[in-house]
Amino acid sequence: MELTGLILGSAIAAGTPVLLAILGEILAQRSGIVNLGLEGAMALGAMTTAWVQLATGSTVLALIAGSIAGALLGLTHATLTVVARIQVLASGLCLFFVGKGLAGFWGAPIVGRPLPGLPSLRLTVLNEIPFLGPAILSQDIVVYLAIAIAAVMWWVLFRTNLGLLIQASGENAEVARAEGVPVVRIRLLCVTVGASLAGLAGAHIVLGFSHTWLDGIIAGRGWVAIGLVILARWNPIYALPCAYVFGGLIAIQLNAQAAGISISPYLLSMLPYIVTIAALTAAHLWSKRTAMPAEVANAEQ
Amino acid sequence: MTERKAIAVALRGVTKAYPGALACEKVTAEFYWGEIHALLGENGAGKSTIVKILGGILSPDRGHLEIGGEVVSLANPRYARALGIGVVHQAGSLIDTLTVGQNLRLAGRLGAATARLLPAQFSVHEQGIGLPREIRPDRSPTEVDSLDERPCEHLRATSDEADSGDGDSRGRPEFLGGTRIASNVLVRDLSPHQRRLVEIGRLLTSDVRILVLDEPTSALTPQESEGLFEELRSLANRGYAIVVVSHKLPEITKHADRFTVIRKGRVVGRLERAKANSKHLAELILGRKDSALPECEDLAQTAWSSTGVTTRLARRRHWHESTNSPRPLLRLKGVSTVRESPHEAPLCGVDFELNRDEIVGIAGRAGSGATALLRLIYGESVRLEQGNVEWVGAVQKHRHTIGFMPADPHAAGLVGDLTIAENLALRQRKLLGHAWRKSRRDSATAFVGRLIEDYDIRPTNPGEKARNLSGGNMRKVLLAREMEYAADLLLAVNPTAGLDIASAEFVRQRILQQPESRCTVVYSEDVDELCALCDRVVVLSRGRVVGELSGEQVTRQAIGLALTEASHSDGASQDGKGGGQSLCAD
Amino acid sequence: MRRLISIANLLFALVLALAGLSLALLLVGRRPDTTIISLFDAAFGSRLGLSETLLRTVPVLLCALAAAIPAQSGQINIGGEGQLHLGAIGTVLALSLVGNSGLMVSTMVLGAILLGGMWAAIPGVLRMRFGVNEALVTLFLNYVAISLVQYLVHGPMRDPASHGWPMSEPLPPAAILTPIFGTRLHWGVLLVLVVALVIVAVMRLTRTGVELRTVGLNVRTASLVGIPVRWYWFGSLVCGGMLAGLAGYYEIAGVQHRLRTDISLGFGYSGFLVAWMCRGQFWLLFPLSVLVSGLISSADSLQIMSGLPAASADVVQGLLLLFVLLGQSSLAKWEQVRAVRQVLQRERKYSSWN
Repeated sequence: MELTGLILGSAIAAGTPVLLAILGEILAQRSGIVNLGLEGAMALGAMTTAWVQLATGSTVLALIAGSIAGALLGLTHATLTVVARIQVLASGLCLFFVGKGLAGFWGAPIVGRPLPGLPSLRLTVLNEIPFLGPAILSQDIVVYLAIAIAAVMWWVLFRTNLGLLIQASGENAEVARAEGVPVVRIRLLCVTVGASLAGLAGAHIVLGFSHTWLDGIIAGRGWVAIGLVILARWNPIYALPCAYVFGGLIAIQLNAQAAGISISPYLLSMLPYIVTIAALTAAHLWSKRTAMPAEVANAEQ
Repeated sequence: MTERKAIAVALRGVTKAYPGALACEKVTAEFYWGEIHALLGENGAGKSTIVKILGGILSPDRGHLEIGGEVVSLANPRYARALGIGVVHQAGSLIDTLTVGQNLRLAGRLGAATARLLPAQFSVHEQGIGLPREIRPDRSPTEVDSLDERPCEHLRATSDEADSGDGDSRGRPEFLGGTRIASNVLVRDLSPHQRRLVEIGRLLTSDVRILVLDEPTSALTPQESEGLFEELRSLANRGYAIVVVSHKLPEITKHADRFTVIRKGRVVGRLERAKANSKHLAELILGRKDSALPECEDLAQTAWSSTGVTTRLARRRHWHESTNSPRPLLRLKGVSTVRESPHEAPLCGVDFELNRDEIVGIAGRAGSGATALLRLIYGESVRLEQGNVEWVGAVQKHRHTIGFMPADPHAAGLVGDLTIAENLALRQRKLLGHAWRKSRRDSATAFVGRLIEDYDIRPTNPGEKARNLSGGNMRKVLLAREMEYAADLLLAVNPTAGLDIASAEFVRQRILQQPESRCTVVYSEDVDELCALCDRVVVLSRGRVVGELSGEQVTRQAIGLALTEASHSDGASQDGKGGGQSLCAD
Repeated sequence: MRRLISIANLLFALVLALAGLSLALLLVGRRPDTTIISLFDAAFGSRLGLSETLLRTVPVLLCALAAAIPAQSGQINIGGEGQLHLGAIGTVLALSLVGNSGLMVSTMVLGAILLGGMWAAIPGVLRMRFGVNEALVTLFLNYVAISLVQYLVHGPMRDPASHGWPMSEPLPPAAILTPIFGTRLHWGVLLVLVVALVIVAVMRLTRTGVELRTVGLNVRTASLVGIPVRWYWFGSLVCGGMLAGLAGYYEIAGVQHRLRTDISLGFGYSGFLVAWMCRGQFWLLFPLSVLVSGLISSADSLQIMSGLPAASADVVQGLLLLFVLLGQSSLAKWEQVRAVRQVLQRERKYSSWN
């Protein structure tokens, strides 16, 4: 029972960066732009956060800096794609390499340095609730922030006029432009904000999960997020279970020894990726009718 | 109506250049309030460019626009809309994957002066399409009498009078033709007629006073086109300025008040209704005098040349003789298919025959099951619920004897980055490879050279990339390749859509002159094209064959009637589920 | 003329990428000029350096082909890295099956190719049957492959004589590729060049090549004329995997002589970048591979010598691709503007005559 609670807690903590990345990518893709540089944005965000944390000691500043770093990468991608008209997929992949490279490059001096954790929500009364208490109700603030962002994004996309503009840009940019929708500005906005969420995701990995910076610490979570966007059918609410289940896989992997599972840790570390591949295949099998924004489908051609 | 009409919008010396050619050159045209003004010209003459300039999507390289006498520069489409110009594009002005309600909201927000974050509750009114009052600007089109010489001023003035105006018309939303459309239907589930209504209707609920319609009747039956024009006439009578771009002479000469003819980007004629007739306009459009232009309504209306008419008559005669001894190619008996997508009706009890040396037309809307039928004919595997498909004689369900000309060569059919030679040779698998053998290279060169000459493909250099060809030449390459390949059966989808007259003529002639062993199936949304080409027309609706016309029965009116009757007879249950309820498979 | 423009674009992009690197270097307090000069010197300046560069060209070129061939049919294969790892596993596996015998080398090569191809067949099948995005699957399989190698060298394949270090048993001397010129370079570099030329010939001269290109250029047309599109998707991915697997063989037999976790310096990703820089212009593959390999090997040695982060190679490669793409799109845009301006000028001339 204790262990289950521990795993649940770890699942939520591990799933949060993935959740943030999924949300960021959903926003970008809803406006019609695929951002394959997500992993690079997360890496840059993580590295920047670690730096600022070590340099200033202020967690808040570090989180903001990480988000801004991600946003800058997103802005670059959006500008290259929308203004300079470079192919969307190529631009994203480029920025993945550049982002990851720069993160590794500038992060070299601080590799392995220990970092403090994030402030967590400790409502002592709630903490006493068995099972739920430690697992769900005393996570760090970014966890709750992520859930709030998911709710807000859902509301904006499906209940406001701005959301309609975003969807229009993502479904048929030409007609939207003819209708006076400022497609370019919307796309710039969505991709930048989306990438800033990815930067925040990277920040959470270093501060809230691993408590250090290493080159390659993102370990493909950004790519997993892009895959899970398809599974979540571009809906912020569905992103929650996808992200947390994935987090659960990571939690199982980390706590396997304690649970008495004696599989090699290397084999266990394959599990999240294999499951994601299986989930993607399942997503393609189930829904004959795709919920993919039409402009994204055009880009994939 | 006032005697001296005021100018709503004018183009003065507008010139627009594209890489390689001038789309329009020093175009000057005046469009008046209260009139239906026809903009005529063949495909590629520059009409669509003018429409885009009017809509604010493109800006002229030289020249300017005037609205109500004032020089305006339309920086973007939103600005054009705010100044009162609303455009319905040929390719569709709605977003297919969103609902009607969402599309209307998208249009409606332009009427409001400020963009507000409103909850997107859209309600279905009793009378049909309508925007909730909070979003819809409170204005109704006023009578012509109150329009003064400066309509721009007038437009600006009315934005201030929030609460004035007829209380009755404020509460009642706009709708056209008495059709009710639910708001949560996806646009792609609508019929073409419903789409047009939504496209026009949503413009009427905002500031728009000048309507520009690009080929509004392209996918409509003759009866529906009539209805549409009646609505446009009533709008014109209420003061709107209406510009219609069309290439369908018969219907436009009946309804328009004024005509401007464009050829190769230049204005070559301006006529009023009194002085215009079909023949004169056709001569202006084509740029030549042809004494044998037909006057009659249903026969070969769109094959505007004497040779076309003669060939057509000869074919009809020949076909009469051959019906006595048909040589069957394909027989479908009682075929019903499984419903594969929510938009496409499954076939239900279809009996269908194809004989050699026939040109058969299939008339049917999107979603009528025509696509499934075409796929069956093409030999693709379609799951059958019941019935059987029988290929007679030596032809099996192999693709190598069946040719296919899809509607849009760029999307499917040609590969832009390959050369003309490679595109022509794509069906001849043997010719494509082994390029190191001289004999192979020679036979490939000979093959390609022969086709280029035979089909008059320009430019004649086989090494030219296919994407640099004009639309007409692209179609000719496709035609050459498929005709060369298809000994038994040729499927042509919208064979002359979007082509200039010369190319369209060419394609039609070639189809009509088919060799005796081949059967050609033409699927077209253009009823006139079916009339011009086909010996026999099968009309499909909601998966059933609702009519079969042959010989003299093949007329515009008859086909149109069959289509319209069918879509009405299935009841007014337009609940947005697309194909409706079929008694057969589901 | 087109070729000259491509080369000019590349050189310009290289200059810009190095400028970007300089900026990054300045921000960490290093002198850009000396660093860049030492990079070039280490890559091309000496016989040893040149041999190292050419040594690295083998896997990079193979991985570039591994990405370029599927790209012809419209598939994105970022999985070169993982396929290379599987090829390495296959090599060692084959060796353990056959032992030190006459068939050794051929089975090793076969093992590498088979396993590399198999690794690419997974995304191939998923794409073919279910339509799953192959870019993501190949990427995920990279991580799986790396974990697999780690598992094997820590466990089943660990050399008992290695005192706990994770690596497999060393290769028997007969299996090691003969070094030439007194350096680590082996004849594999020539073989790889031949392989590349053969592939180019197939692409341009055979029916398969034309059909493959057609699939990549316009899928609907391809299926319309009866080309088996899905099989081409699958086949091109498997071919790519086999080539990357071969790179794995070369790393084992020619460089490392055993299976270790650092069997690859990111060759798969570098090859992918090279392939995308070339964009179907196969003649650029070899020179670009050499350039990028030079970058990798010099960054590697500079890391040891002067503490330059190895990630600097990644930065330059990413920036290089970025600027190549930017250059290509700028050129296209400029051509368009020029064409429009030409038309307008012509019109002005004619109207002034009237």
